[in-house]
Amino acid sequence: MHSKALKKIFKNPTAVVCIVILAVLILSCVFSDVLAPYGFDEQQLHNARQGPSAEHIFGTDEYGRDIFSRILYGGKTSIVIGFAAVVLSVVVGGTLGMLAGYYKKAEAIIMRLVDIQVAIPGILFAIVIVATLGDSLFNVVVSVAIFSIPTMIRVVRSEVLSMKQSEFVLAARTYGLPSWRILLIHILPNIVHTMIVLATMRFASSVLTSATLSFLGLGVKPPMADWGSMISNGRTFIRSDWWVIVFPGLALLLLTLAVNLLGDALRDALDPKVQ
Amino acid sequence: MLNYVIKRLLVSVFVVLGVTVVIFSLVHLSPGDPVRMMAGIDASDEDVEALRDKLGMNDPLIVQYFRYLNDLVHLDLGQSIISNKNIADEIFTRFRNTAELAVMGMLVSAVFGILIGTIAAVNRNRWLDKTLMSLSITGISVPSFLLALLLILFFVSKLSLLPASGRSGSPFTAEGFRYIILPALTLGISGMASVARLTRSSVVSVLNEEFVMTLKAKGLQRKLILFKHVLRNASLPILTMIGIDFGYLLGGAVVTETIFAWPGIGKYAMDAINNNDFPAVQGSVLILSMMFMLINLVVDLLYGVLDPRVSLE
Repeated sequence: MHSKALKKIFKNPTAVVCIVILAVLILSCVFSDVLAPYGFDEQQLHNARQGPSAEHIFGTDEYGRDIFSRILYGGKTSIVIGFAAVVLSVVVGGTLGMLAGYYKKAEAIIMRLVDIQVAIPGILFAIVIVATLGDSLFNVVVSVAIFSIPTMIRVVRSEVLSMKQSEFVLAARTYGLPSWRILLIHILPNIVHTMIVLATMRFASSVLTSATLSFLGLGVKPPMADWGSMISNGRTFIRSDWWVIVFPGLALLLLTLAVNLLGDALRDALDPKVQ
Repeated sequence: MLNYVIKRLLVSVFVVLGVTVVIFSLVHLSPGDPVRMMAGIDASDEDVEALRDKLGMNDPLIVQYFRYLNDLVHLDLGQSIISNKNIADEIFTRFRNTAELAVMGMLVSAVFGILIGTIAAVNRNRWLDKTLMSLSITGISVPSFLLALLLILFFVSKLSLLPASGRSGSPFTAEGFRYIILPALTLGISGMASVARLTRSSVVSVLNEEFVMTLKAKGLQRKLILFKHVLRNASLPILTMIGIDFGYLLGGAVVTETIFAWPGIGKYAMDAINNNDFPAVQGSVLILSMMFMLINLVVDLLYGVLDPRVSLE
C-alpha cells in the first residue's frame, strides 16, 4: 500500500476510530482466555438470568453463564471463521478472477460457473452446504467463503481486463515475457489495493454469514460460545431478559459497522479518482 | 433486441441446468442416509436395501440425475420423506406467501432506498446527507436476525402494537397487513441501505454532468430536472442493484420466515433442513433459485429496453 494512502487513512477521523474499535475488539477476543472473568461454559445456576450488575456487567444467561465472558469467547470464533473465509475467498477468487481476466478460454468456463453459483440465493447456498455436508468448522469456513468468491472473481477479472489494455502490459508482452510473469509481477501489484478493500468489506459479511448460520443452529455447536447462537438462545427470554440478546448483538453490530466504515475509508484513500 | 433476448434466454437455460447439477450433487454428496430415515428406525438392512432399489437409488448417479431432470420437466419434485406429501404441491401453496413477503420487502428497499438516496444526493455533503448515509451503513451492517429480534422487542414486547409472528390472511386486509409489517421491514432494510447508497452516488454523478447544467441554465424547474432527467439517467445501476438485492431477499427469506413463522418457502426449506428431508431441501432450494433467476432475467431484459446500448453489445 502506498504511504500516501496510509497517511490519508490516518487523517480520516472515522477510519482512526474504526481502527481503534477493531483493534480493541479483536485483541480482547483473541486474548479471551486471559481477559474473560469467567469461563465460556462456567455455569452458576443460582445466578441464572440476572440483569447487568457489578459482578456480571452484561448479565447472565439461562444457565447463569457470564454474558460478557461469552461475548469475548464467541468473538474469537466469529473472527477466526470470518478471517479464514476471507483468506480462502481471496486466494480462490483472486486466482480464478486473474485467470478469467487474462485468458479468454478460462474466462468462458469460470464466468459460467460464477453465473450458476450466484443463481442460488446468497445465504441459502451456505445453509445448504453446511446442512448437507455437515457442520464441521472447515465446512462452515468453506460455505462462508463461497458466499464471497463470485464477487471476488468478478471484481478481479474486470480489473485485470482493464490492466491488460494498459501500455506497460502491452510492452511486457512485446518483450516476450511469459503470461504468468506478467500476471504475477506486473498486474497483481496494481490490483492488490482493490482486493484489500473488497476483502475488508467481505470480512464483515463473512462474520455476518457465520453468525446467521449459527443463529439457525448450523455451524458452531453449544456449549461453544458464538454470537449468533447466543442471540438465538436468548430468543426465548426476549420479553423479560433483553440483555441476553442486546449485548452480543451490539458486539456483532460494532464489529461489522467498524469494518464497513473502514472499508469505505480504504476505498476513498486508495481510489486515485478521489485523490 | 430479439437477438439479445434469445441469447439471454439461452444463458438462463444453461444456468438452470447448472443449478440442478449443483443441488443434485450436494444432496447426493451428503453423508446422511435419507433412505434409512424413510424406512424408519426399526427397519432391517434388507428393508432399507429393498427400499433403495425401489427408489432407484442404486442406479448410477448419472441415470439418477436424468431421472431427476425428467421429473422436473413434469413438475414433479418428489415426495417429502417426513410427511409423504407431494413437494411441488407443498411449495405451490407456500409460493404466494413468499412472493407477498419478497415483494413487500423489495418495495420497502426500493421506495425508501431511492427516496433516501435522492434526498442525500441533493443535500450532498451537508449534515442531512451525512446522517442519512451513516444510518445506511448501519443498516447494511446489522444482521437481519438481530434486526428482527430488536423489532420484536420494540414493537411487540414494549409497545404491543404488532403481532410477533405468523400470517393472518391476505396482507391487503387491515389485519393481514399488521402481520406482514415486521417481516417486510426486516427483509427490506438492508436492501434499502444499499439502494440508498447507490442512488446517492449515481444521482450525484449525473448531477455533475453538463447537460444538467444546461437544463438549469435554461431555467427548468429543479423538481422537473431531478425527476425527469436526473433520476431517469441514474436509474440503470439502481435497477441492477434492486435485481441483485432480490436474491439476497429470497435468501434472507429463509431467516426472516423462520423467525416470524411466516408460512413461506423459506421456512419450508429451513424445516426440511432441520428434518434432514432431502427431497424437500432439493425442491425448495431449486424453486427459490428459479424465482431469483426469473427476476434477474426480467431485470436484464428491462435493462435492454431502457438502455439501447446494452442489446447492441
